Amino acid sequence: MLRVEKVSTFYGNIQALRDVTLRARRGRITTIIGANGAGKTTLLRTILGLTQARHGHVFFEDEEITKLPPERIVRMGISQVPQGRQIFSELSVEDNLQLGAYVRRFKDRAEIQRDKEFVFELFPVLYDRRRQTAGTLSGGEQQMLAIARALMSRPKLLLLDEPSMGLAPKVIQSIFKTLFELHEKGLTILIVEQDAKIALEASDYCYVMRTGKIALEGSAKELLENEEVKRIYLG
Amino acid sequence: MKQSVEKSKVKAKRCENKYKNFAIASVLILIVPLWARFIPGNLIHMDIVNVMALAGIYSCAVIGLNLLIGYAGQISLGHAAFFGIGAYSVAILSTRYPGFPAWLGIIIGAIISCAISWIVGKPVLKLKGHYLAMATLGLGEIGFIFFREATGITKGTVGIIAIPPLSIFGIVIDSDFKIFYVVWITVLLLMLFSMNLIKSRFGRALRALHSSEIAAEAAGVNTSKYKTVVFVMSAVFTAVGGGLFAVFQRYVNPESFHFSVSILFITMVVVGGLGNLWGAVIGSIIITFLPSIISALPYWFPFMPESLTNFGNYTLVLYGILLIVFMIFMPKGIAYALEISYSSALRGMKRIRDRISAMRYTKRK
Repeated sequence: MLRVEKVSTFYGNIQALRDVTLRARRGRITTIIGANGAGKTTLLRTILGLTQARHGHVFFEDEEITKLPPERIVRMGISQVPQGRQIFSELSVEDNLQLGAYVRRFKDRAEIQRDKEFVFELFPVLYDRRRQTAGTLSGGEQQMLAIARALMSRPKLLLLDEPSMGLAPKVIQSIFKTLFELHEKGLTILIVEQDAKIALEASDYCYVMRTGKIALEGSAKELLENEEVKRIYLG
Repeated sequence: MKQSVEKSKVKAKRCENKYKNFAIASVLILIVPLWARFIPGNLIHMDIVNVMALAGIYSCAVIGLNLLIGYAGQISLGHAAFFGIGAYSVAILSTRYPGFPAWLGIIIGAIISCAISWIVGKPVLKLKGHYLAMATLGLGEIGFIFFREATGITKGTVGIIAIPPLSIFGIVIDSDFKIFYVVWITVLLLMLFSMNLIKSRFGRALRALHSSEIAAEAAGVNTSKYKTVVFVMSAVFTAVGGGLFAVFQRYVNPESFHFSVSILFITMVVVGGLGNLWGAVIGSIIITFLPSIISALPYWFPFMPESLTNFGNYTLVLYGILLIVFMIFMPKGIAYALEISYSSALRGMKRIRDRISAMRYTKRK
C-alpha cells in the first residue's frame, strides 16, 4: 500500500534519512522502532509531505506522492497522529474532530457527522467531553482525541508517531486495543515506537532504524528472537 | 428527523443570539453622537464624537491585527506602514488630481496594501517569534522612512495638507458627526465579516494553526497559505483605517505612521483582549480616549498640583506600562473581564431572585 524507496531527507545540510526503503502492506500493522534521533519522525513527516525528500520516491497505492502537498496526501487517504499528540488545546473536542476532517468537502457534511458518531462510539469518553476545551483532557484522553481526529479524514493508512509516549501502561493497552479493532475493520497502520516491546507485540512486520538508516527488518517473530534486538531494544 | 429539526432550532437560536449581541453593540455605539452633543464641552473638555471617530478608525486596524495576532498567533510590529499606505493613497490621489473621489482612494490604498503585504508576507511569515517581530519591525521602518524621505511624492515631514473631504452619494462628509457614522458603519461591517470568518472553516483552521502548527499541517491545513492570507487581510483592514484617517484629519504627515503607532495598535489588541473580536473595538476606544482624558485632567482637578495632572508627555510610557500590566494580570484583556463580570452579575441576580422567591414561599407558609 505504501512504498518508500531510497528516500533521503535533509534539514539544511544535515542528513536525517539515508536511503530509507520500506513498505507498509495493506491490512497489516507495520512498526518502526529505534532510538531517539534515529529519524523515525522525519520519515513520517516525509511520507506526509511535511518535509520534502531530496532523493528517492514515495508511492501510495502505486501513485507517486513524493512531491505532493500534505493536503493532497491527506485527501488521498494517509493520516497522521503526530508525536506528543499535538491536539488543538484551546479548541473544543468537537472542533478538533472537525479539523481532522479539514480536507473533506463541505458537501460531505452528513458523512462527516456520521464519522464523528463513529469515533464517539470508539471513544465514548470523548462524547461526554465534546464541548470541553481539549487542553482540559487527561493525557490518555488527549491521545484518544488525536487518534479520533486523524480518523476523521477517513484514512486508508494511519501513521502513528509514538502513541505510547508519556502514558500509563493501562492506557497504552486500551489504546492499542482500539487500534487492533480499527485494524480488524481493514485499516492499514504504520506505528513509530520507541518502546520496542509494545511495538513488536503489536505488529506483523517491523523495521529497526538507526542513525537515519534501516538497520534491520523482519517479521515481529523473527525480530523478537534476534539477539541484537533483544540486547539493545528489549534490554 | 425530529432530532435534526431540534438541532437546527438550537443552531438558529445561537445564530440569533450572536446577531442580537451584535445589534445591541451597534446601537450602543451608533447613538453616541446623539447624547454626546448634549454634554457641554466646557464640562468635560473633550469632544467625544471626534475621539470616538478616531477610535473607530483605529478599530479597523486593530480588528485586522487581532485576526493576525489573536487568532493566527503571528506578530506584526509594522502595521503602521499599512496604515500609512492607506492614508497616503487617499492624500496623494485626491490632492494631485482635484475631483478624485476619496472613497476610490481608500480602495486603491487597500489594493496597494494587499499587494505589498502579499509580496512581503510570503517570505516573512516563514519566520517565527522574535524573527517575525524583527522582520515586520523592519517593514514598518521602511514604510516610515519612505513617507518621510520620498519628498517628491509624500512631501516629507511637511506632510500633505488640505485633503478634500470624503463624499458618498453626493453627501460631503465634512463634520465629525458625519464622519463618525461613516467610520463606525465601516467598523461594524468589518466586524460582521470577521465574526463570520472566525466561525467558518477558515477561522477554525486559523485557530488550529495557532494552537499547534504541526498538527494543523498534519491535518492538511496549508499553514503558510493561511498565514499569508490573514496577514494580507489585516493589512487591508489597516489600510482602510488609514484611508479614513486621511479624510478625517484632512492632513497627513509621517509622524502618524511612526513605529509607536504599530505599538499603539498592539496595545489596543492586548488591552481589549487577544482573540476577542469585540475586544479589538473596546481596546481601541479605551486607548484612544486615554490621551484626551489625560489632557483634560488639569481641567477636571484644578486644585491638584500641575506636576500630578500634567503628564501628557508621558502617554507612550503609559502605553508601555499598560501593555506590561495587562500581559501579566489580564492576559485575556478587558473584553474577557467584562464577559466574566457580566455572566457573574447575571448569576448573582438569579441567586438574589431565587432567594427572594424562597423567602416569599416561607412567609406564605
